[in-house]
Amino acid sequence: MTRLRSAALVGVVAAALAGGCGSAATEAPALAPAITPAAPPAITLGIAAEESVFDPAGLVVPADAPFALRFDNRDAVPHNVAIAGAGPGYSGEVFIGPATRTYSFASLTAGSYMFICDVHPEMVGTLLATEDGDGR
Amino acid sequence: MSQTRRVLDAGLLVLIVGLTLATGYIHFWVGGTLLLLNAAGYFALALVAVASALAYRRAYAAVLLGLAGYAGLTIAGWAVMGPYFDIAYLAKAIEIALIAAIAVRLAGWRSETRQSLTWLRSVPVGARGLIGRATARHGIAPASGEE
Repeated sequence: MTRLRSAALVGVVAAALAGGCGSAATEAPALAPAITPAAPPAITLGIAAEESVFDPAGLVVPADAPFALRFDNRDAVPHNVAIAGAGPGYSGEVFIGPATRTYSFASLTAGSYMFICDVHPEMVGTLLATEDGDGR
Repeated sequence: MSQTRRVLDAGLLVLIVGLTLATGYIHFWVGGTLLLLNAAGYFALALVAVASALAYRRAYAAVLLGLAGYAGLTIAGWAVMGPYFDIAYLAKAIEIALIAAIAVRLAGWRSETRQSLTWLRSVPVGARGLIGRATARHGIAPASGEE
């Protein structure tokens, strides 16, 4: 009985570990290794939210390099900028405007990403991470 | 109902409606399609709660139960989807207080709550009866028109 219980426990732990590894591997497949917080951003881009619309709605950043976004929330409601599907480290602080925050993000591999406001998912924009991206 | 219970009942109604309007207003103020729909639900339920308390007492406890369920679903939806920021936490605290106030009201007026739930269970039966009568009437009308 005890042996049976031990075997069941080992099975549960093994399944949990396998599940954990599986989800970790699938959560952020497109990302480069995380940059340490001390790494300075290669570039800082400006973006604003006004009347629940991002301005500009398109950004270009260099691929494989940390970057920063200076987010100017001009609305008197909470907004943020989050890079959709890039993981929890890519969601900036939600704050009420008018106010400005600078978000530092780790590098992204080359590709096209959608950015949104977590509070208002209908607010969207496109972020391109390119090999020759100099920031726009 | 004694005077004290009447005052307590009115106080709880004011508290419940106030908390409902407060969280509804926060959702309305933050905005966005989903939150505006949520706010509309809160405002509608506040209106229905007041109307049932004043004019249709047997539905009152059932309406409060629906309101508590709505607040519970809102909290669960937020727990799953977020986003997590200060105003959202305030709204959730208000919703928890709202559920607690409704629980106090339902527990303090148990016989009324039981009667209201009995009435709620009878609603589908009554609706079926109404539909049946309407269908029967509709069935007669074309026959008389064909004559």
